[in-house]
Amino acid sequence: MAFFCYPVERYHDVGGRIDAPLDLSRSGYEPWEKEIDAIHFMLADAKRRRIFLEEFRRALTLQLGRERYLRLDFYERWAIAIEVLLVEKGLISPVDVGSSGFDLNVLQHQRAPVSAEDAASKQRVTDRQEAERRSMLLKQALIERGVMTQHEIDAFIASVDTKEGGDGAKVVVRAWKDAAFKKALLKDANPAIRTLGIDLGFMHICVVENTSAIHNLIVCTLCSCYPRYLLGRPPIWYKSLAYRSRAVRQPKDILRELGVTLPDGVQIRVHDSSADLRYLVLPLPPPDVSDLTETELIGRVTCEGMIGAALR
Amino acid sequence: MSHPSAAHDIVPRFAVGQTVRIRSAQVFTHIRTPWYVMGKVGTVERVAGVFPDAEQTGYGHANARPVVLYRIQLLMQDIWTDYEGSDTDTLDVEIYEHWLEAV
Repeated sequence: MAFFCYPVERYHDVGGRIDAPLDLSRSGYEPWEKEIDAIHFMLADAKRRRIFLEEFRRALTLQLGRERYLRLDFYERWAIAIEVLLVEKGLISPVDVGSSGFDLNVLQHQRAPVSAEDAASKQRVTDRQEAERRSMLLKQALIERGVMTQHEIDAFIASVDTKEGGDGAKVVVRAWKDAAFKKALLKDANPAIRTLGIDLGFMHICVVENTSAIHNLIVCTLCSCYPRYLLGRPPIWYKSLAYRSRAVRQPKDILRELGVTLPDGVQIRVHDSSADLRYLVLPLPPPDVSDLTETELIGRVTCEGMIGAALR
Repeated sequence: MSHPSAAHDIVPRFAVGQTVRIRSAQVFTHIRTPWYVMGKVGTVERVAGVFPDAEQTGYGHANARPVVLYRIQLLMQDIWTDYEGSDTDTLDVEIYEHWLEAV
């Protein structure tokens, strides 16, 4: 991993800083990652209101320390950020989650002389196990305190699993079929989307349109903001440091690594989702758009297409 | 999206199309201005609305002050001296009003 430049105090602010290839090898989240994801959104929901987005962003970005922030994987950081916030608010105690975390076998491994590569790989395994263990304890503490039940967590996960970008695709396809809807959508997205009966939660959506001359790409360099209520969970690479860093500096290379080759002369517009808006890309319709029904077209739209990481 | 003039008596300082500079500051607390656009010049793409100041809500302030949020459009080549793409490529970023100054 090479660094373009890196002041120590804002290590999460990675736009343009890390020159590493996109890792597209992982797909699908592990069960504990889905649980941490669910716990976060449930703690923030209208019923509980235990944590707020901006506090979570702060805990996620400033609380971890540079070395750990850069080392940990996405949901590993989320687990710690939730823990930090809940302790700050007095909802859980530090020992609920932090106690007896030392595996003596692991410590003994670390004392033996190992190569740097072995050490990093062992560290990766330790981080992963530790994150999974802490997530489980965190969940148990929340269930014991009556904040949520396992049944509610499972139901949340199931609802996200079935979403798979469906609501976003409905918006895109309606815009392809209905010029007046598209015009309203591009002007002020929230009221237009609500006419389709879609719940946008707290999100303020901004829709940007791909044309034969313009290609839009969405990123969040500061954390990993994503139009969750429309598209469900993001692809794993979307949350990676490599994507967050390079999308704003080498968008053409990133698109090539994602399998998107744009014709010469197409202008690339990158949108950094840095504050309160969430973005949806309106991809170019397929050439046979007028021959297909809305249901058929919905099957042609992917999550990647709706963030500019694929043509459709 | 809340229109700036609707729910608040806040008049945006900057207009669509206006040239602005994003302020540069070394900060140790919670902000939402990415480092790579600090000190850079762009134009106001849109007035995105009025939102509670993330620099306060990040610390749990329930009654954070309302601030105007803009989308600022910059040319990639104005951000990165080594930018290898087209010289018309752009970056849009959301910036709160107090991070902007007229040029």
